[in-house]
Amino acid sequence: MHPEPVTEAEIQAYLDGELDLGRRLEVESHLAADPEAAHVFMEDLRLRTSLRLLATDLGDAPPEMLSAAARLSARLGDGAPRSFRNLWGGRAMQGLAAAALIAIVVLPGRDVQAGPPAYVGDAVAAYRTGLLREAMVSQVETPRFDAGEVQRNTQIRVPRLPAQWVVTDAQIFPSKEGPALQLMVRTPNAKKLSLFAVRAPSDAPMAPTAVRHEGASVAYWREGEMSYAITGPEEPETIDTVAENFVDEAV
Amino acid sequence: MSGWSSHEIERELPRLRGYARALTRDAVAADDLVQEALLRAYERASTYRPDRALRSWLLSILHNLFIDQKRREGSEQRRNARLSQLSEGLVAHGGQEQAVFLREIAARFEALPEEHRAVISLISVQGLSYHEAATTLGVPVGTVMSRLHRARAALREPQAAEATRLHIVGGKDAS
Repeated sequence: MHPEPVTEAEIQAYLDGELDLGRRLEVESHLAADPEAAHVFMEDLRLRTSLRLLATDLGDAPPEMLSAAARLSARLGDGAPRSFRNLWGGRAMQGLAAAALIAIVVLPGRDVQAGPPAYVGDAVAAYRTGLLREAMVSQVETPRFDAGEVQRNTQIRVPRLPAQWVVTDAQIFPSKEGPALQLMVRTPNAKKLSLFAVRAPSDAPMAPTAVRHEGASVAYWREGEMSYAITGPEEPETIDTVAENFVDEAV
Repeated sequence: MSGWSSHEIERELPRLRGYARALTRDAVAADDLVQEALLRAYERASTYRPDRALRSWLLSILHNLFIDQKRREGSEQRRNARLSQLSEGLVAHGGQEQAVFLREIAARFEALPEEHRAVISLISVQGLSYHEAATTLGVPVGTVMSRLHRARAALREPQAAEATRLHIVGGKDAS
């Protein structure tokens, strides 16, 4: 098994202390051998130190803030208020689960006729997250997934995967169109790809089309109510071929 | 779960204040926002689950308050990025050259859109993990990462702050 190539996202994750030791070493080896990447990394480090220096000068917390903090501590320490002393009964109990927002990635205006559909941005984000999850100790990959269960719960039709593909991680992601399924797969030539499926009508074409998007290549297409994307590190042409073969095999 | 010492919340105050400054770009408004967040947290104490990280809980209350405030004020008015109090007295940190560089970075940071200031502040300055930042902002980890990457790219790019720079020093005489 040869190591995966180091991605830009991983170098950033390294800077942010998100990688396990093994992967840290890969990133360090990569930086040691690539002066340009090392230069960018040092720039980022310098930016971070500068911002921290700029943020040091907070001054003392005002007294009313300290007393508000103390009151909050006391209240949290109380546990649940007893009902006969519940002075806060009129309060609506709102959970803090904010609706998951999805960043729509706007492509720089290159000479493409129209930007790819919005879910392509989600597909790339999911792919990056998948790569990162593999490198993180605290994140456990879930290689098992039950196509039937996924379809019952999310209405996402999971296409049949080529026999040689191995699923290494399966995740449900929130997206603007509703839940999306992402599978990280390893292909026979040990390439890491991500398959992204969401039940949403989009203006994706029926035949896979590939673009370069934020440092990854994405092939995207539509089939009835489902929209799909395959994301990987290689050139768009390669991913496009993978996607076309995938569609042909899945029929 | 008991055993909350006021110490634990107090320990989070610098983080809350720092994050509030990154959002508001104004020291006074930032402390007001923290104060209000502490009051709201008090009102909602019953919704706090002990298994939840106190840090993300407080930060997300602050974040949501800020968003609410902005909504009340109507559409976001693009503030001119000012050289804030942040960069005052920085000469003390090092030589003249460093102070100039730090001012430049402060200006670039203030010129970033709020979403970008939020992730940079949470992760780079306040030291939250991607997961904690995602919980605070209520978005998936992948979204946090892509925002962070774009924010860093903009910080590296000197032109990013150019549009909102107030005074352009130098220039040539028109010939």
